[in-house]
Amino acid sequence: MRHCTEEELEKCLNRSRGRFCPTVFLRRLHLRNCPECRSRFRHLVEDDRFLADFVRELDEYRRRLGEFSDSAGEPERKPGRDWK
Amino acid sequence: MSFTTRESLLNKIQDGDQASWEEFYLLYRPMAFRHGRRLGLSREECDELFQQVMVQFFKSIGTFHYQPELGRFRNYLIRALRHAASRLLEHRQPVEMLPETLSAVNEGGLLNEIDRKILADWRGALFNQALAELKKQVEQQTFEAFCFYGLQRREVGEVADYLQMKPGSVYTAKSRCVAMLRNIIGELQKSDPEFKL
Repeated sequence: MRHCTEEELEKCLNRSRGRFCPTVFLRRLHLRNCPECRSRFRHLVEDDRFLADFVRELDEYRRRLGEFSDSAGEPERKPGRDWK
Repeated sequence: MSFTTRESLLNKIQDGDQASWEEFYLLYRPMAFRHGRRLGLSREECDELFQQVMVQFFKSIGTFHYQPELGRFRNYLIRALRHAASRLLEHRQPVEMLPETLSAVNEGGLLNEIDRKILADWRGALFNQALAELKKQVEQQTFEAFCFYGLQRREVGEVADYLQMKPGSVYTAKSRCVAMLRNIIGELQKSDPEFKL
């Protein structure tokens, strides 16, 4: 049997985002009993939480600073109306 | 790591590096401004507040040796801001500042709350710095993929189309950037281990 791909794990994470229940969502992984895949998935969840906290604090900081907000240089082009 | 940590920034300033002075200015001026505004200082007074702190720091730079184990630069800066703000407020009293407010400032009750807010700004500034450092360390496309998919949480398909990458590469970019970001934050935290990031 093969291990879950990065894409499968990310898809699983995206589905579970915001209403995460590891038990339920790990069942959706076709290799749910594989310790390695479970471990990789948990790392992904940790990263996701880290990023969510990071973005929240950064947004709050920039909002507080208002006109002094200094972008760290995120891309100026944005997906949207000019999206491809 | 070759990027600027608190310690290396202060050391470069001490060596008279102009670019580091500018970095210092950009990093801490917003913090000083916010601090002053919370205390009710005008915009002009906030500028004066930061000028005073800069002058004080400049005066002491010749003898200043940054020793993290003896005291965090964060604490030094907060103390300097607090003292400079108190001086400015005292000059306004009694015309523009109520005695009870000044008393609260001096007794520390209000300052505890203000310190808490300064620390939140400090965290934000470090996060900002970490993101800017990450941008320097990776390819533009990788950074954009990370921003769109990892930070802005856009659909992977959209991001892949927009950046003309494969979805797998977007996932890889995110994963790589998260690891690097954690590493950068870890490095920044080394000079201030008590400060939880």
